[in-house]
Amino acid sequence: MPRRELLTGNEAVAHAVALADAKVIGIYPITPQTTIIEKICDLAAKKVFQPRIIHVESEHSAMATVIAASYTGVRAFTATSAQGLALMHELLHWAGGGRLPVVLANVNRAMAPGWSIWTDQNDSLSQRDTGWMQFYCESAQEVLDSLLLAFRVSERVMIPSMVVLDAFVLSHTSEPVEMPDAETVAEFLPEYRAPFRLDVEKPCSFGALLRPQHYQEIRVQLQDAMEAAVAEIEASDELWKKLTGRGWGVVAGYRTEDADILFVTSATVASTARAVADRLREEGIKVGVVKVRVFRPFPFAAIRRALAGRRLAVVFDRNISYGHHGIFAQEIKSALYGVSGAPPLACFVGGLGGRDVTRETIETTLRSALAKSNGRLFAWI
Amino acid sequence: MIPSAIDASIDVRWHGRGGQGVVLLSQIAGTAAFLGGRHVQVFPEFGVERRGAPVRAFLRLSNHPIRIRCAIVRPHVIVVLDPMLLAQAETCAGAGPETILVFNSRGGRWVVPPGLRAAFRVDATAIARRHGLGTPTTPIVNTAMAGAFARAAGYVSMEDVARAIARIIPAKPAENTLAAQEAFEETAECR
Repeated sequence: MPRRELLTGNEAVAHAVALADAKVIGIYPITPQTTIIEKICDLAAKKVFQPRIIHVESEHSAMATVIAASYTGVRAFTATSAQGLALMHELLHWAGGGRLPVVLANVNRAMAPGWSIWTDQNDSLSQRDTGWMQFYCESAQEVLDSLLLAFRVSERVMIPSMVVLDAFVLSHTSEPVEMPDAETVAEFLPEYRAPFRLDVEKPCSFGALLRPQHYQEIRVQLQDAMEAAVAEIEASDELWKKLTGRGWGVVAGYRTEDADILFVTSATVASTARAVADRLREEGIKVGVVKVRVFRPFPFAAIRRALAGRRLAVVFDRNISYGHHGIFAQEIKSALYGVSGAPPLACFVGGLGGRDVTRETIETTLRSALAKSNGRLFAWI
Repeated sequence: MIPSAIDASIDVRWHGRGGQGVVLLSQIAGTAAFLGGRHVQVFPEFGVERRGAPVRAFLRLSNHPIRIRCAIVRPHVIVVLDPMLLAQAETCAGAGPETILVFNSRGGRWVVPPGLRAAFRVDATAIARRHGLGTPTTPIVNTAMAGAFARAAGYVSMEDVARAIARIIPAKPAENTLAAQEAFEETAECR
């Protein structure tokens, strides 16, 4: 029997990194991420695993550290939040463009100003175009499983991964987590064998000048790899399900089979939304919930399968692209463009800067969308 | 009794002051419930902690995996470590006829809001002093209050509280367990 422990989302990250036996970890503190690196240091001090932990002077340097480590062919990890992730931005491109399978945990925190330590998704979604995969989690168990999956998929497709969890609602909340045993992890996540690496015996250059006739070629390769990554994520998820009984999908539906109205969202809001769907069904309102778990590569086919033919899809975004609207909503619209049976979308933005998203918030969102299902496309909640 | 419906949890809110170990108390109680076979969700107030300022922590416990991921506003149990906090309206905000209040006070005058299901008192400060927990002027009452919670609310056993203390309290495990046990025995309903 696998053992169960009471862990916060952040502790689940740390345990996953230990289970993955990451070799180099670049660390720099920022609330609400800090307890991840504290727990990693604690596990390393207890010799649960023995990574090289490198304290640096900024998040930019933390990312530079894991990039350099990854170039030498070892598994590397770091964690951050909000302004810290923004400071990494330049180097996120370097990891993505360099095809390095680095894994980063980002604890979603609202961007300043005004100063906030609470959750929303604008920090990670601002990194959309850096060539990283992004996984959004709703429970500490999903965080642990996603970290292991991220290492596996990243090393198979040579694209870095960002595993994302909500500040406090997930990062600092303790709940039961089933810990996979070492044999299961070893089967799922074999030792990393880098297809290329910095080796003084076989010198070559990385990130060198690329003239216009070559630059676009490597970008084509990155895009092809990103598109192929959807199937790789699905296959790895299937394998994890076979090994542990837990699969998370790229898009996860709940009571969608006979649903007229779908509530489409991501991360912890999806969890609360399932309780709301059950309640509204007692009134005869046929609500289903669709959780978008993978944001990059965007799961176009799964979104189309989940949404086409419904009466209405209500998209709830805990983020906003100023001058447009919710960012998941934009992506979902683009996935549905030209698809027959595409439902009308009602797009809502709420929960920014840690504003609590309660059962009432979600119920109000659904009821107001139903009241004007052919009306406004966008509203704040 | 913990209700059987899927999203019906028992919701507990813990009140104390920064430095009193309120967050650790919520973890002791959550761990005790977890060891007792419950599904639990334990979280601190999502804020910036300051020594001496009012601090809250939260616990949901259920017979099912807990799907609700938002703040607790209508607690079934309110546990108060510092009797002075009882005078603040926020401490019992959201309380109703289903709510049990458990508070630390040495006796004398206290004001319990009307309309609660029950109120329980324990002199956790004296118990903590007796066992040398914290300092005489700043006793640490959290483990005693874990015993009081077990007695008053009945959702966790004293045995599981002791196991939780052994698991997560780094200092003075014997003294802390004794404090919890004595508080369990001394907690009495206010009538």
